[in-house]
Order: sequence, then structure tokens, then C-alpha cells
Amino acid sequence: MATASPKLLLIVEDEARMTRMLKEALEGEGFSVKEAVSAENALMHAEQDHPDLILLDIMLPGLDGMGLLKRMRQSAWGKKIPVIILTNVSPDDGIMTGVVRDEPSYYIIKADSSMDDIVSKVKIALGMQPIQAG
Amino acid sequence: MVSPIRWLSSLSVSKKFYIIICSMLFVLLFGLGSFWMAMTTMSAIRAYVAGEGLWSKAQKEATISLGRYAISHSESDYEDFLRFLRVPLGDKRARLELEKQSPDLALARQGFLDGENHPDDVNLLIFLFRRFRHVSYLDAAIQVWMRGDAQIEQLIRIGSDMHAVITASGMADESASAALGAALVPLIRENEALDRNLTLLENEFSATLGEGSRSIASILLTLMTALSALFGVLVLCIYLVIARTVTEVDAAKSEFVAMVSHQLRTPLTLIKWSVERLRKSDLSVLTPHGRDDVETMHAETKRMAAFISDILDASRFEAGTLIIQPYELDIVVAARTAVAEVLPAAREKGLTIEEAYPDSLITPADPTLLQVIFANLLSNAIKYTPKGGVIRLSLATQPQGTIIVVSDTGFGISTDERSKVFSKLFRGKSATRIDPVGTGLGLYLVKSILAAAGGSIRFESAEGKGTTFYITLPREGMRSRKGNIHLASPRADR
Repeated sequence: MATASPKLLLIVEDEARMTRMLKEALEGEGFSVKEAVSAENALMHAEQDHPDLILLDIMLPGLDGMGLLKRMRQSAWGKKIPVIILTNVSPDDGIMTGVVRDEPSYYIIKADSSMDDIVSKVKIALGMQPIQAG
Repeated sequence: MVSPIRWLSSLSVSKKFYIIICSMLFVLLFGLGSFWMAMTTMSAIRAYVAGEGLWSKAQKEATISLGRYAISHSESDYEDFLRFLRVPLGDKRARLELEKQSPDLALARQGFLDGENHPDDVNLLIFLFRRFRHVSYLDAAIQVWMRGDAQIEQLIRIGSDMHAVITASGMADESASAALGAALVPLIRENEALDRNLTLLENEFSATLGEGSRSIASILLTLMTALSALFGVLVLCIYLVIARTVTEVDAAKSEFVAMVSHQLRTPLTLIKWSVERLRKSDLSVLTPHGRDDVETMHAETKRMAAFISDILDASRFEAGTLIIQPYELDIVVAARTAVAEVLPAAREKGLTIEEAYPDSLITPADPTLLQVIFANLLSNAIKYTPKGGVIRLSLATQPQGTIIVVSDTGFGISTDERSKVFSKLFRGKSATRIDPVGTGLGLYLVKSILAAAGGSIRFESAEGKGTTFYITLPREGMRSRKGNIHLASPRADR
């Protein structure tokens, strides 16, 4: 169901062109989008803006995405925020431990997904679209 | 100076393994050689103990025969005396031959055989004498043996003197008989004294040999213990080298895989998304060739992305152990979700997907792996079924477990390619023609997952009519397995 104000999304991604493309696609669907290029930057934005959903890359300069997710889940404001891992890294043991513990809504390999898939997953995670999209 | 550990670390893996194999072979051969030596030595000592028994028995019999001869004056007793002496004399011939610089082993062998030693023991007797002649215990025993032989020479002389005295006496009357008796008395006493001396020498020989035997057994035990310890240490070192090498190779491989995933996928993502955006824009400004080029880029980037993921999955799958984390889930829901994922592609191609499920089918299964199985079989069915075709997905419970059936009305698999369908990177001729985007890894992964999870897969196919895959999940559900490989992208739907 549409709300009066658009849902706020935070894209945590250090690859600027990728962020730009995602931002355009998501804004085209009516979302409001903020960007962060590092985990530290993302924490600052998230604490301040309390986004409705975070699209999170894993390989980031400094603290990585799974570290950021863990830190978020330990804080009161970040416990329930839906997170979609958006990465090109195949999951290893460490990542899987974080996935099980910190419950992201999806773990998406960017190269295997279209931007439409990602927009669709964002909507599902926010309860704006049923899971069985077919 | 380079330390051995640093030197070993600098070697290539193959050289390390050559060194390991050579060290193992050396220790193994040394161990086997030592064991052979130990067994042969102990057997040889046993043969000497047995030989000493025969020597002593013969000497005693000779002494008794001589004593009897002194009373009976019977030639047969004297002949017995001489016959019993052949044993110590045979052994003596063997000893004297073996003492030479270049002994005639045939003569030595014959000497020991004359000493009534068992033919199988003769070589052992020669072996011990030649190899350990100057080892203290054997040397002492041989000195005793030499003294014994000297006493045997005296015994021969006593016998010879006695024989001469008895032969010379006519025994014509009582006085002559008394004179003979008087002449024999000192010889009889000498014979008895000699016997006592020889008994002492025989005891000394046995004691020396026994002492030597115990000493050699102790040395061999120490040697075997040291060898076992050396072998154990070597095995431990080998284990450490292998563990370290495998860890290094694993780490290098994981790092390489991570680098490949990120470095290849990142530019590919950008190209893929750019092409997707391009396809959504107005392409009418392009020439037909230009539009074809956009479609080619779209198809090829998808193909490359799928190929990279499949190759990474297959490589990780082979490098480690696939983790299977089953929990009770409704396979009907999983099947419906999988169908929903592929429905747009099926519709685009004008295919119908028919579903036949029970209301629910709860069984322990790993949702991620189940997703990989469904996705691969359904996408294959869509790829290889021509427009207007039907794909059927059905689920059922049977005594052997949960049965998943995926059938299509597609092109089918040719007879000569059926045996290779589950092989890694195999692509049939028609598959390559129909779908150049495929990687030939999907069914290989499905079969490998099912094998690891305790399930199975088989298929029936008729060319031009279609293919049906039958998957069986064990009745107790997917088998849980600890490991280090998560195969596909995990999805944590909430």
C-alpha cells in the first residue's frame, strides 16, 4: 500500500556508477534514495535518517558490510531495519554466520540479478509486493 | 645459512611430496631391513642353542660309550664312541673353515650337517658366525667352543689309548685281566674328569649365548622402538607438511575465487545493468543491426554472469564439503516459489506450466539447495521445450521418499548423449544449438547435491517428445552435513 511519504532507502556501495544506476531505477519506482560509500558513512546516515531499508554491499573500504550489519543489529534503531545484501562475493562461512545471525531479507549476487529483480526484492522486503510475483 | 624448515617451505608442492615419499620409503625399507635382520639374528641364535644341545648330547654319549668300552672291551662300544664324536668334530670343521679369511662355505655347510644340525638352520649358523664373529658375546661363546674342541681332542686321545691298551692285552688269564684293569683305571678317571670339564664348558657356552641373545634382543628392541618413534615423528611431520600445504593451497584458492568473483562480476554487473537500461530505452533510433547487437550484448552478459557463478559454485563445491542444513519445510511452497520465479520466462516463450501437488508436503530439506534443484530443472525444461509446449511439475510421497517429477514436451535427449547428461560441462549438440547461453554445469550440480543429501535423480527421454526427470529425496529428508561450502546465494525470506 502506498504511503504519503516515499519509503527511504539507503544504498551502501563504493562503486559510484552502480549506485547511480540503482538510485535511478529505485527513484523511478517512487523511492527516496540516499547513498553511502563506506560503512562508517552508512552508520552516520542510518542513525540520522532511519531508512526503511538498506541495500548493503559487503566489500567496502574499512569496516565491511557484514560488520556494519552486525553493528546495526546490536543497536536499538537498527534491529528491525530490512537489509538486502547486494554483493558480488559468494558467501563463505564468515558471511553465512552473519546471514544466519543478522537476518538480511535477501542475499543477492549483483551480476546474477537484473535491476528489475532488485527493485522487486526491495518491494517484497518492504511488504509492498507479495512474494509470488508470477 | 638457510634453515631446513625455511628451505622446505620454499620448495614447490610437488618437490615437497617427492621428499616426503622418498623419506617414507627410506624409513620403510630401513624398518623392513631391521625387522629381517632381527628375525634372522634371533633365529640364528636359536640354531646355535639347538646345535649346542646336539653337541653336548653327542659328547655325553661318547663319554658313556667310552666308559662302557672300558668295562666291556667290546669293539662295538668303541665304534659307538667314535660315531658320537662325529658331531663335535663336524661342528669343529665348520668353525675352522669359517675362521678363515675366505672360507669355503660348502665345507662349512657340510661340517654343520655332520654336526647333525637341521639343514634349514645351517645357513643361519653360518650367517651369525660371519656377521657377528667379533661381537663380544659370540666371541666369548666361540672361545668356549674352542676350549671344548680341545677337550674333545683329549677325549679322542683317551679313547685311542684305551683302545690300544685293550687291543694289546690278550686277557689270557686272571693276572692279565687285573693288569688291564689297572692300566685302564687312570684312563677311566681321565674320561670322567674330562666329562665334568666339558659339562662346565657346555654350561658356560649356553650361558654366554643366552646372555648374548638377551643382549641382542634388547638392542633390537631399542632399535625397533627408535625406528617406530622415528616413523611416528616422520608421519607427524608429513601430516603437518600436508596440512600446511593444503591450508596454503586452500587459502590461495579461496582468495583467488573471491578475487575472481569480485573483479569479474563487478564490471560485468555494470555492463549487464547498462544493457538492461539500454533495452528499456527507445531502440527505434538504431539500425536493425544495432538492435541485434544490443540483444547479443544482453544475452552474452547473462551467459557470462551465469557461467562465472556456475564455475565458482562448481569449483567451491569440489574444493570443499557442501554444507547441507535441512529443516522441516513445505516442499509444495518451495515448488510454487520456484515456479513463480520462472513463470515470466515460460510465458514469454509461450509455454504452459502445470503443477500437481498435495496440499502440503513437509519434509526436512535445505531450502537453498532445493531452490538450486528446482531452478535448474525448470529452467532446462523451459530452454529445451519449443513454443506451445507444456512443462509439468509434480510432487508425491512414496514409500522410498519424496518424489519430484519435472517433465517437458521438449526436444528430448539423444540416445548417445544420455550417459553424459550429468557430466560436468557437458552440453549436448542440440542443447548448444538451441541455447548457446548454457554452461553445462546445472545438472552436474543437481546430481552432486542430491548425492550429498542422500537423494537421487534419473530421467527418461524420447527424442522429439520430451524428457522427464525423477528426483527422490530420502524418506527421512535431506541428510544434514557439516562442511565449508555454501553453494548458492542464500536467501533469508522473512
